[in-house]
Amino acid sequence: MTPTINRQPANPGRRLLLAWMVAIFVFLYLPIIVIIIYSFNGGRNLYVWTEWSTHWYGVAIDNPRALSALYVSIRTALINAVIAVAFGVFAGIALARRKGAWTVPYLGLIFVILGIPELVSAIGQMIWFDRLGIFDGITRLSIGHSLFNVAVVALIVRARAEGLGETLEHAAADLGARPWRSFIDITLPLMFPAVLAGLLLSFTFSFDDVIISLFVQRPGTSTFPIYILSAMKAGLKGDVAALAVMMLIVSMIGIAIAAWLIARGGRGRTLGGLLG
Amino acid sequence: MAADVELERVSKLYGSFKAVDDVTLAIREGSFISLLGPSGAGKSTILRMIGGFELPDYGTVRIAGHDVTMLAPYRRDVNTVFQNYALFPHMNAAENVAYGLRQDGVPAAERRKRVGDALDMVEMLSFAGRKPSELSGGQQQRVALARALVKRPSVLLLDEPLGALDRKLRQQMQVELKLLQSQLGTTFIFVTHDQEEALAMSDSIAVMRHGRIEQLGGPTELYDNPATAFVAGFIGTQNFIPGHRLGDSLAMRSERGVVFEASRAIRGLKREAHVLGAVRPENVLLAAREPSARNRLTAKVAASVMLGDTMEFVLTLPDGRELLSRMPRRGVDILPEGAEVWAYWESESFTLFPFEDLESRQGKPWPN
Amino acid sequence: MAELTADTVPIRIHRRGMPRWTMAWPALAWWTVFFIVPLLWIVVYSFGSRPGAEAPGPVALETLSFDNYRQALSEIFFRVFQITMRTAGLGTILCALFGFPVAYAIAMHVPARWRSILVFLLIVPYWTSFLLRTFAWRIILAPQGTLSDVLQALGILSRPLLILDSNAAVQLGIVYNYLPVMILPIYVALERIDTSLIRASMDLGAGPLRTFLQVTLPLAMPGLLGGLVLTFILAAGDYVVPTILGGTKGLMVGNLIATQILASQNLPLGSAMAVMLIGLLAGVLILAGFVLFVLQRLLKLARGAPL
Repeated sequence: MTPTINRQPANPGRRLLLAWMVAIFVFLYLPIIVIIIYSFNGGRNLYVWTEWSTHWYGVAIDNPRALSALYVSIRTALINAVIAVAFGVFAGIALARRKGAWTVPYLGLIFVILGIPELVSAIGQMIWFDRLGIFDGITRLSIGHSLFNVAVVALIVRARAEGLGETLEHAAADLGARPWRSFIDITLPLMFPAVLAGLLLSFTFSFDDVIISLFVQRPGTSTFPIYILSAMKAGLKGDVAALAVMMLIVSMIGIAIAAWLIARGGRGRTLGGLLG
Repeated sequence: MAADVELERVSKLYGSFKAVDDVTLAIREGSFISLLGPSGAGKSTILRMIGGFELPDYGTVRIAGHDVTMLAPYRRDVNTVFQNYALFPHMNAAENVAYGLRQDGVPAAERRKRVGDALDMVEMLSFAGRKPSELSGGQQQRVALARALVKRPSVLLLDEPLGALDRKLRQQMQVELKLLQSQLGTTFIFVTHDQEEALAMSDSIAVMRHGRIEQLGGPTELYDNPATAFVAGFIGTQNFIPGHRLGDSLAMRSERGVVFEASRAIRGLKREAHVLGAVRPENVLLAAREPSARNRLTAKVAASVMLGDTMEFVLTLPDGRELLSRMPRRGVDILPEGAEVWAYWESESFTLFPFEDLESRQGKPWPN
Repeated sequence: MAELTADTVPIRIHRRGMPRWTMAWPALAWWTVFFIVPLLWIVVYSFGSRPGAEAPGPVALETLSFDNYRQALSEIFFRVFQITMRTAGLGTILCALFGFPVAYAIAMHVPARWRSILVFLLIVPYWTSFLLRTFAWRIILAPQGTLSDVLQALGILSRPLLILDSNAAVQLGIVYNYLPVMILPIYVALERIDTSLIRASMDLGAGPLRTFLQVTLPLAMPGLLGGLVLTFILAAGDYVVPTILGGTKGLMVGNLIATQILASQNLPLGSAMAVMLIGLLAGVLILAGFVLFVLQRLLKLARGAPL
């Protein structure tokens, strides 16, 4: 005889909460679904529906301006991610392992960088790049995006380093490892999930960035979001939507791979542990 | 190959809190010494100072005669088994064990052999390829042990390594560690709060409290001749009876006016001093009729506790205090609750200690 | 035991070489050069003036004055600022009201293995272009669009949907864009709460509502506050939403400043406005913090002494 299965008591409050959650998720995804659907809009104008067609996907792949903007965005995002990780990992480890009187002001600076409206930061960078004489588009964009992301990476790495504790580095020293050896053999490898998360977030934030790109860009190097913005003024066509959908698929595959790597690499960590 | 370890007037302060207070300790090479005490006693701090993970604020640490006080851990011929094993999660068991040898520049072939031998010694050879996350607590602990011992250090530090294991496994590991130590001859310094563990494994035990060593001695000596009431109560179980010493004699008057006779008083005990008389439960006998022993009390049985090979009786004295009596089960049966008995013991089993306010099991307030 | 005598000398710890936190210097240098210095330049420029037609560069710094600030304090800026504060504030509150239940649902009522997936799904929208998602709302809210038709058919509207290019659309866009920003920190805080605390509370006789108010909410407060602050700041400085959904009526500080600098080429004025934005935001946050502090004190008074 099969034993009775105990379910959670039918709790109306619980049902309501879950229903609300679903509703919000639908709300969040509604525009995305709309974009996906309308990317198949054969008509000339994006928001006037005419017919189903994959016409614009073809155009998207061919459109040189869109593709060049995409290329600029990807290059920028990658360089910015490398900068962010290069500076942020060390800052994060220092914050966790080398605490001192400097820690609180430093964290204060990080929170100001994260909290300040991007607009203000963008204006400042525009002024400064011009004064410094830095006129290369990709350089300006990469540096401009990286400021915020260095802070993000620092916090993520700090959270992970705090979570893991110093004992493993003590064990390495106990076994004869000099500090730099222990750093390379133990500290850095253990930071891998945080570094990966940092890379992904930095890439995403840079890729999607509008305001800093708007102020800092140079003619000829526009990022993809800026291209979309100008296309909007000219009258959006379906190719932009098609590109966005393709980008979405690529990112989702990328994230799925990263998530799988993290799950394989370390013990399962809740998002809370990663975000500190 | 084993080495002496000496601590000379070592102190460690955190703000105004003295974690380690002017400790001097000489550990003979090749011995197995335990640092025993309640949490906060300073035992782990001392261990960390020997290992090099903390710098003493005062004093000197010497290993094999060399002053190592300021040396970093990687420069000392000391290895540690950490409380939570601290195995590197991204390396498998063999790589963990090999790590220390790599730092020493041991060539690959010799390294492989020594790693194999070390894992074999702790019976983990077949698990060499597993990552720590794939090992149980006891298995991780063995790998941690192998990792520390493969470098053949002159001193091995163990920081409560058996704390996370269940009782049976712990007892098994205690025996194994003891055998390993006599086999290798390395100096073992073992930190624990479990007095049974310390008694079972050690050549000598340093009982610590509040950053100081209260008594240093072998297991038997600590058990039979504790120097203070704290040590008397911490090691094994003890019945305490508060009262006052009668003059300069070995007799005391309890707070209810009953006179007891001891055979030993701690050196330096003042006349008429406030004292705690101590007798161990296994020395407290029970009788149905009034016995002729010097130290005797009436009591009621509150509970009979079956401990397997012994029987423990929890007795209530007329004033509400508890007294414990423990006897081998042979010939002894459960006594009914409320039964009136006489509890008695010889003066040879009774010692007078200077009074201390201990938090003991028998700590019911003594009504007046 | 012996007191620490005078002849035992404390060890002087010699630390030759680098200070311990050298690793954090590169990032600090990066931020100083490319973040702090630019901010200082904004302040400097805010005192400058618009250069003449032949002058090189975007700003004339020969004569420094408060002119830009006077201009910024004009009617327009203040009105726009008020609208911005209202939209951002209302948006933050709505995000909290809508988002908290979602965070609560995921943290408390969803089996553990589904939680990561749901959080993942929460973040996924951010990989589609923020611009396009906002633009999608133009499609959804279009007067000739499906939603408009449906609402008219249901009788809720008597005319086509006219929400687009108005403040209401901007408000909607703000809420839409910043919901995940609000939900995530709350979720993280809630997820950390040890469920045995909640069970203990119920065990001690507190019903679900009281448990929520006295146990869950206080413990989630740091996450909630973080979400509120972050959402508010992001919303107040937003440029994209008012530009795309607001038309001419939905003006917020963000695109006002951008227009000044990029379109009108008035960098000094834009700089002054930016400085004022920061100042006003900081002021609002400090005020909010103060109000919170006072409320906390009052609450403690209301509850009375512990014993």
